[in-house]
Amino acid sequence: MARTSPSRPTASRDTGTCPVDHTDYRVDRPVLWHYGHLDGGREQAAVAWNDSTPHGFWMVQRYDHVLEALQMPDAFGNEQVNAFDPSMALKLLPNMLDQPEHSKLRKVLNPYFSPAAVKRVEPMAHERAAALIDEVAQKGSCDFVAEFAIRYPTDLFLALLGLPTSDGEMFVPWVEGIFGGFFGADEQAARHSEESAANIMAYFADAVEDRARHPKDPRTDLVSRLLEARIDGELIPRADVLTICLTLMTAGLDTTRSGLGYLLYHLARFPDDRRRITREPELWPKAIEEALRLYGLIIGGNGRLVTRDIEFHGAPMKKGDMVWIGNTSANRDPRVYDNPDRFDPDRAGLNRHLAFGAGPHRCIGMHLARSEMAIALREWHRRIPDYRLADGEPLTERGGQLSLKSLPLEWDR
Amino acid sequence: MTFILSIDPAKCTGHGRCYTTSPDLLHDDEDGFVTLRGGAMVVPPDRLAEARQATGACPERAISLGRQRGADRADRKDSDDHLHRS
Ligand code: HEM
Ligand code: SF4
Repeated sequence: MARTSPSRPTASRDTGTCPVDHTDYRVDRPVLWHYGHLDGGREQAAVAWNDSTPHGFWMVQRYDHVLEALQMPDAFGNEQVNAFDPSMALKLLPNMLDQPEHSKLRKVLNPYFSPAAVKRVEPMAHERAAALIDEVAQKGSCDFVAEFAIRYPTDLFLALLGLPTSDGEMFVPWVEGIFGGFFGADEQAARHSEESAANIMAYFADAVEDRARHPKDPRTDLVSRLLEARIDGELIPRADVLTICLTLMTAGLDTTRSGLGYLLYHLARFPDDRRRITREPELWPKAIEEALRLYGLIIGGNGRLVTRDIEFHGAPMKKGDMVWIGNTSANRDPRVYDNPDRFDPDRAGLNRHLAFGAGPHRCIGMHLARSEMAIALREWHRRIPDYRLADGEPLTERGGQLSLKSLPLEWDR
Repeated sequence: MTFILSIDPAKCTGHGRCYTTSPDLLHDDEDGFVTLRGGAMVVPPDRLAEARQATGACPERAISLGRQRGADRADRKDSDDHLHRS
């Protein structure tokens, strides 16, 4: 594959008709700050240039343009996917493959993430959710983000790979470490991120080695399948198997945690919405979609590398530029959603939200995430139907990939 | 008037919103794609509302619902290019 060099000075750029945004989206901000800010940018222009990072990046901000860009993989490639840092050392698979290699690997992976496959892990999800919630219910308060929202998907992820859920406790700090530096602006965090990735890789290396010696049924066991699958007649290199495990973990845990966090934050602030859904639990799937639409998580992590000079809606893009695909902005675009700021699980066109992306790289874990979230929320509200935000420090959200840093809740026992 | 629902294989990436929204009309395969991907079907008249819902649910705009004049040509699974642009 020909490499496109991602090193272009950001000063004195020709930005065509596009405004320049100086906002640094990698830093922590007060809760909900990003959404208001993104709304402003989207209403100002369809495409903007952002010069807050050394490399700079284009921001595609409206629904139609976001969908269009995601469906143009030949112009917007995946060799680099971090809009903030196109020289990111961390390798992600299948994210950083272009066609046709990408779809060959997705073909191997897809069956383990289909709705039918997700059904198989549902009993385990109920069991983990119930156990973890029982642990906190008696206390009358908890930091939802730290004590439940990250532990739960971590345990399930390990179970999905056929690994002991008891390793979850050890894993959580590594996952935090990776994300601290992944999108962050400071160097120390970046180093810690690489160390965390190395720890996880070492753990997976042992686990994968063990599975190579004692294979399980490849029809239900993903790791066994990865070890025997052939792409163009070749086995998947062992290093790539490890990278796939690491990717699934980084892509799956932080996002699910974050999605759960924002939804509980919303329901703690708006008791009417909470009461309605606890009264009609069949609403959970729609409430989850609406929360994912309203409180998007992905800002910058689904970057694309421009593969050839192209004029995109007024933006003179050059080969080697990075593009920030604004799924989160798109989902709040008033051209598509009436009163986009309102939480309305009954709204028209909800299903078309782009929180899981679109095009060939659409989220492979979408069915798993939906199911995990629905199960956790049902189990939580069965035990703790009423709760409120605990007094304390004002809440903050992490930049780079949005997530509440903490969510202290309390309830009457 | 007969309605034909067809699914563009180049655009469908398996979001599964169509078969989740309209489970009596469309179904998932083992990979999570809709089984009709790359094909077309005649929509039974009493299922038109469901077909519309499925069409509106697809984030990729991969589903088209179009009229077909004349005799019903039942259940064609092959992809037929003119059907994809209605
Ligand atoms: C609420 C939860 C989640 C959200 C909002 C989310 C969002 C996204 C988005 C927007 C993309 C597209 C990125 C792009 O276009 O470059 C993506 C890709 C991906 N997601 Fe998720 N995700 C979630 C949960 C998960 C889970 C649970 C897993 C796996 C266990 C997962 C694994 C992946 C992988 C592997 C990709 C890359 C797919 C590819 O490049 O082919 N995600 N996700
Ligand atoms: S919703 Fe669209 S992309 Fe998803 S399976 Fe159905 S047709 Fe394919």
